[in-house]
Amino acid sequence: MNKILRVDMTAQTVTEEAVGGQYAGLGGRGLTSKIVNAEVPPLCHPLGRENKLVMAPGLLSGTAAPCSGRLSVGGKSPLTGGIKEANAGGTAAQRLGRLGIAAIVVEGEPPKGTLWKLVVTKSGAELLPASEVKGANNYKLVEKLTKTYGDKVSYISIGSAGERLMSAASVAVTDLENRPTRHAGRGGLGAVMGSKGLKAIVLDDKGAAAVPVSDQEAFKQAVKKFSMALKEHAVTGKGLPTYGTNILTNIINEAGGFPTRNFSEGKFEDAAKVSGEMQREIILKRGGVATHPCSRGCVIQCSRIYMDKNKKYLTKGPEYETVWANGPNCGINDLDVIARLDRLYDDIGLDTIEMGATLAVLMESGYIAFGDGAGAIKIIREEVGKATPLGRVLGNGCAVTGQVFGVKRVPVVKRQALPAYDPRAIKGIGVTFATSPMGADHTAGYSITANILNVGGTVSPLKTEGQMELSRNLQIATAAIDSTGLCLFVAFAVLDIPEAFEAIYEMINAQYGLNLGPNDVTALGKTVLKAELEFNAQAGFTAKEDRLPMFFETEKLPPHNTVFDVSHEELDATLRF
Amino acid sequence: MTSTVTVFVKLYATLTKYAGVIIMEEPMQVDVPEGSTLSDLYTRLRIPDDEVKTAFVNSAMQPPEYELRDGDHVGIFPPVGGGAC
Repeated sequence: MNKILRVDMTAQTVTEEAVGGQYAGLGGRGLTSKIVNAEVPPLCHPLGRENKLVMAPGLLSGTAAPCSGRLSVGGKSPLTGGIKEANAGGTAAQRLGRLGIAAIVVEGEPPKGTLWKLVVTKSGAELLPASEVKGANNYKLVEKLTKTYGDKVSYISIGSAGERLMSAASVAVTDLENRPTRHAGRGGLGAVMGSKGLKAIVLDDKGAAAVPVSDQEAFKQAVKKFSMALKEHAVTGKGLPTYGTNILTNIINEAGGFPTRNFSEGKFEDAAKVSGEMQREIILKRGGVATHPCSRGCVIQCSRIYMDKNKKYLTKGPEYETVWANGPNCGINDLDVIARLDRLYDDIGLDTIEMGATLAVLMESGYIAFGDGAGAIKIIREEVGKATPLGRVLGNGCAVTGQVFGVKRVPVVKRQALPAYDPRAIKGIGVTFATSPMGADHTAGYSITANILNVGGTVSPLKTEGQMELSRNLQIATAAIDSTGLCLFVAFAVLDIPEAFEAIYEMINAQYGLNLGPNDVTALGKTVLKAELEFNAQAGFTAKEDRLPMFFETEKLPPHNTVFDVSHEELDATLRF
Repeated sequence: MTSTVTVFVKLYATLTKYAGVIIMEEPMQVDVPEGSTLSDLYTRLRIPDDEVKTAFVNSAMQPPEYELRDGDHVGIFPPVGGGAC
């Protein structure tokens, strides 16, 4: 990957530049965060002309490296006001890799009221008017674009939420079935894309040459080693392919850390009804697909295809975080309700975590009752989908909704909703939620591994000891993995099998003719985090942004009846390295 | 005479086959001799040790040598992992 595409929305021009200088050797989150930190004024309005939307495949994307199809999307977040990287699976990263594109940087501001699409082929890129798809949601949009560009391309798009600049708007990526089911969900980057007047990106890699690999034989060996480790590890080789990500519902519930009814309890009485085991049975009974890749070259295959009661396609199998946010966190125990919400979010283009947390806060206000699945579906479809004043409040996320409805228990850090783990019962993830430059984000440093899953060691989830170090090390490692294009789920194998970790830098070395070692991986992670922390500091973030809402420190969570008590000093020291 | 303790057990994911079911919505009641450990319970349920990764007793993670008490709620898991948005 040797070029950056600069898309100037003010002049509607696209220019190519070589990757060099401070951006050389970077990919994925490393590249998006470096570009945002270097080029976006930290105090700018996230929806203004000074912000930039950056999309970057990882260093290994486009090659035969297993699970290397993650696309990083970055910018200044309208939700958090800080730097943001959200990544998605689907087919786009592999195509960008094959097209030799290290990043697409969308800049400036289009003439008011105009809407555009960017079409990228091996011979170049051009911006074209897209007024014919104005207001379209993702499924209809992809259907319309497919009539022109076919189904052998990738579509990156926003639904109506992105066009309407909602802070919970996502960026959608099409999957192997050409459906817009894979989203860079967190932090409202869909609104940034909307503010640029960019409705869709079409990536056509027809005729593109294979990604150059410096040492083919060494690459092949490293790929083999990596694949074997992923297949050998019980989580990546068996648990995830069989049950999908929602296999977590039962174990997080058993651990008493499963946030229920807006973080008021740690166990949900009907967890079995929404579990990964139940989801698998429903999928198989209705003729869906229970083991399925979301991107080319995935050997884990945790994706699935979910059918409705009439055995017709409804959505991809809702992921664990989606199931939790819109299920137990809302007192809802029906997978079909959750799947319908998932479909609506993918279509309108919304972050499933933010919206589930938002619905729970709305329920806490009494506007609708906990457990009201039909009410939740109606509100998302009729209010958020149609951008009524209520819908605009909700579409701007949990913090805004809590403020508008006078709710005191609002589970956000840096204004981003907490994902599916209660930090009072699983304290390591609380450190990550508090300190990640992304706001509350489980993927930034997934302490659930050692706290609950006994992967990569064991650190008791209920004690404060060891949580800071656990979170710090995982945040550094994650920032590096997010730069490679590898799916974060490879970490389950990497944490337990030394050869899997070796294979990562061996693949990069063989592709680029480098000689990196384990210390370089750590150094890369630190560099990425430092750029992100620097941006946030200049955007005005201080230590007080690195705190959980106070109710986590004062309200005891049943069944353990514990609070989050990792000290503020430890939180402040977490990313001091 | 050895007295027994009664525990309530749920098996998850691939372990449900040792209870002869696909999904366990309700826990099964198991009587074990007093002094039995989690490890003894695995043997009793014919679950090979190497298939158990994590066990919770009353929501707290416990090692195989944990001694069961009357009324304990036990959840037993194979290796699992996931979580995504």
